[in-house]
Amino acid sequence: MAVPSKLMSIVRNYFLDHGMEEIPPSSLSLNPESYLAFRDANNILVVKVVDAEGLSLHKAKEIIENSIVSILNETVGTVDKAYLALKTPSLSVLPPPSRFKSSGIGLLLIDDKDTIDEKIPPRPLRRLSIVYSEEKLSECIERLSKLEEGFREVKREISDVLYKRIENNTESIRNLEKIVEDIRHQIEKMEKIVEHIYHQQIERLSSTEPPVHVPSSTTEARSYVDEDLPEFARDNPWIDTLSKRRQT
Amino acid sequence: MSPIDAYRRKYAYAEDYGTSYFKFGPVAEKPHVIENRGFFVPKDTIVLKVVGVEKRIVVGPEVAQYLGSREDLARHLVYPMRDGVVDLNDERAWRVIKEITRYGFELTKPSTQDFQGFYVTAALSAIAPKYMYEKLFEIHAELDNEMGVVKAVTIIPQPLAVAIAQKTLTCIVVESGHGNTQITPISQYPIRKAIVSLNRGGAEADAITAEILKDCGYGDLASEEKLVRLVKEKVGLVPRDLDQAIKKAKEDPERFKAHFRVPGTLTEIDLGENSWTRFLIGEIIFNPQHEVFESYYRRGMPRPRDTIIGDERIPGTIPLGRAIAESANKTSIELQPYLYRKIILSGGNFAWKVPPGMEDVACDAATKIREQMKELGLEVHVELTKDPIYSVWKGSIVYSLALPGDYLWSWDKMEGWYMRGIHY
Repeated sequence: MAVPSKLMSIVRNYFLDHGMEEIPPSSLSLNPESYLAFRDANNILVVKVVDAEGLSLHKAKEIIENSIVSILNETVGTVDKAYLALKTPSLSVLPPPSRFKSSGIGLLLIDDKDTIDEKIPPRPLRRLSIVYSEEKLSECIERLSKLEEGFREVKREISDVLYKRIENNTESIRNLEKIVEDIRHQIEKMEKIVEHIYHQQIERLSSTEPPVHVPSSTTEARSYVDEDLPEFARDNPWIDTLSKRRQT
Repeated sequence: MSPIDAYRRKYAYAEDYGTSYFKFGPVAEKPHVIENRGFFVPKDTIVLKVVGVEKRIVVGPEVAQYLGSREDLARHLVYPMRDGVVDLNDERAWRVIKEITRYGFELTKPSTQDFQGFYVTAALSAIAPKYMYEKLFEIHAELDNEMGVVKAVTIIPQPLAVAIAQKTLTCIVVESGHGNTQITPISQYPIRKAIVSLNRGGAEADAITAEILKDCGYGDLASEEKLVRLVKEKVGLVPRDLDQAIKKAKEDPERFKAHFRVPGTLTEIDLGENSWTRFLIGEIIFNPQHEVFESYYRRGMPRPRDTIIGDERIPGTIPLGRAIAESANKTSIELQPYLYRKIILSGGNFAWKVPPGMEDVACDAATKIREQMKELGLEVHVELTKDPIYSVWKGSIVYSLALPGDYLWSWDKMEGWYMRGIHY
C-alpha cells in the first residue's frame, strides 16, 4: 500500500532534524515506497511508514500487525534499529505495547498536526559484527601466506647479496694484503740491491782511481757513460762515425 | 776519448714524428708514445666551459675524453700528417705538431739545476719537403723561447735513424708505414738522390681487407677502420707464392680457415670458403700488380699512385723487391753489393707472422723480399728491425748523443745542429 509522500516527508524531516543521514532503502533491499532508511554513525536505522487513516478498525489492526511482522522479516540482521511510524485517528487500532517491546520495534505516532511523538523507543536488533564469508577468509589467508613467502624470499635474497658482498670484500682485502706484502718484499729486495750497487761503486771507484794522475772529466764521463748507455747505443759504430762530422 | 759528453748523456732527446704516433723522450730504453693527433676544443662548448676546460687544443691520452660523435671527430680531431707529410698551409696541422712537441717537453723536462735545454733530434719521413724542416725548427725555437727546453735541434730522415738503431753503416732501409713506403740507401749518409718512395703501405692491406669483408657478408663492419686493421693483423698472411697459396687454400679450405672473434665483443668473423683471400692481404704489400687484384681495382679499390722522380715514373704497383733494386740502381755500381748485404725492413707494415703448420705456403716479410729479389737474380740479406716500433726513436737518440755540439746546421748537407744563440 502506497504511503502519501507528504507523510514520508514528515518522517524524513524528523530524522534528518535529529542529525541522521538518509540512505536509500533499496541499498538494504527494502521497498522505498514504505520504508525510509538512515545512518547514525555506524548504526543503520529504518522506518516503515503506515497510513491507517480512513481504514476500518479491523483493517487498520491487521495492517499494523503485518507491518510489525514484515519489519522483522525484512530487516533482520541488516539494521540496528527499526520503527513503525503510524498515522492513525484512533489509538485503539494499536496492538499492546508489549508487542512492540518484545519485537524491539519502536513506535512513532504522527498526529493531525503532523507532529511526531516517539511512543516506544526501539531496541537494538543486531550485534555489530563483521561477518566474512568462508571464501573471503580463505582468500585473505592465501594472500597473507603469499606475502609471508615473499618476505621470506626477499630476506633470503638480501642475505645472499650481503653474504656475497662480504665474501668479495674479504677476497679483495686478502688480495690487497697480498699485493702490499709483495710490494714490501720488492722494496726490501730493491733496498738490498741498491745497497749492494752502492758498495760496489764505492769499491770500484777507490780501486780504479789512479794513484798519481787525475783523469780528465771527459775520460771519467766515458767510463761511466758507456756502461750506462741503453743497449741500442752501446758498441754502436755510428757513435764514432757521427762524432767525426765536421764543418767543411 | 769518448765522443759523448756528460751533458749530452743526460740531456739527449729524440722525437719520431710518425703518421700515426709521436714517440719522444730523453735517453732511456723506450720512448713515450702518444697518438699524432690533436682535438680542437670548440669555442662554444658550454659543458667544457662549465667544467673549466680552457685549452684550445688537446693532445695526448686526454684526447680520448673529448671524442664525441663521428661528426665531432671529423670536425675537431686533426691528424696532422698524411704519409709522413704535413701540408705547408695547413695551419691546424702545424698547431697540432707544435702541441705534441710541447707535450713531450712538458712531460719530460727535468728540474735539475744543470739543465740548459735538450739536444733534440727529430726524425721525419725521408720524403719530407724542406718547408717541414723549416717549420719544425721554427716550432722548436718558439718552444725554447717559452720553456727553455731546446739547446739545439736537428732533423734526420727516419730511415737513417733505423740504420743507426740497427748499428749498420751501409744498408738499404725500407720503411713502410700506413700510407707510403720509403726505400733509402744509406752509406754513412742517406743517399737522398736514390730514395724511392712508393705511395702504398698498410692502407692498401686495410683496403683489400675491407673488400674481402664486404665479399664475405660483413659489409657493415668494413667501415670500422680499427676493426678492419685488427682483422688484417689477425687473419692476413704473406704467401710465398700467391698462385700456389690460393690453389692449396682452395683445395684444403679447412686448413686455411680464417676465423676470428673480435676481442671483448660477440662479433665473429669467418671468411668461410673465401678463406684463401687472407693471402691477398699480405700479398698486396709486396706485389699489388698481381692480376688477382685487378678485379678489386675495377670495383673501386684505389690503385696505388705512381711515383715521379725527375723524368722517371715508378709504377705504384711495382713489386717491392723490384723497387728496392731500382733504388739501389741509382747508387754507384761499387756500392751496390754492399747495400745488398743488408736490407733492413722497418715499420709496422712488415710485422707479418706465419701461423704454425703453414710454413710451406706463408712466410715473413724478410723471406718474401728475399724471394722477390732472387727472382731478379739478386742474392741479398734481408732482416727485420729488432724493434720495429721504436727503432726510429732509438736511432735518433744515438744521433743526439754522438753528433758534435759544434757541428752547425747546413742546408746543403741537411744536417748539423740548429743552435740556440746562433740560429734562434
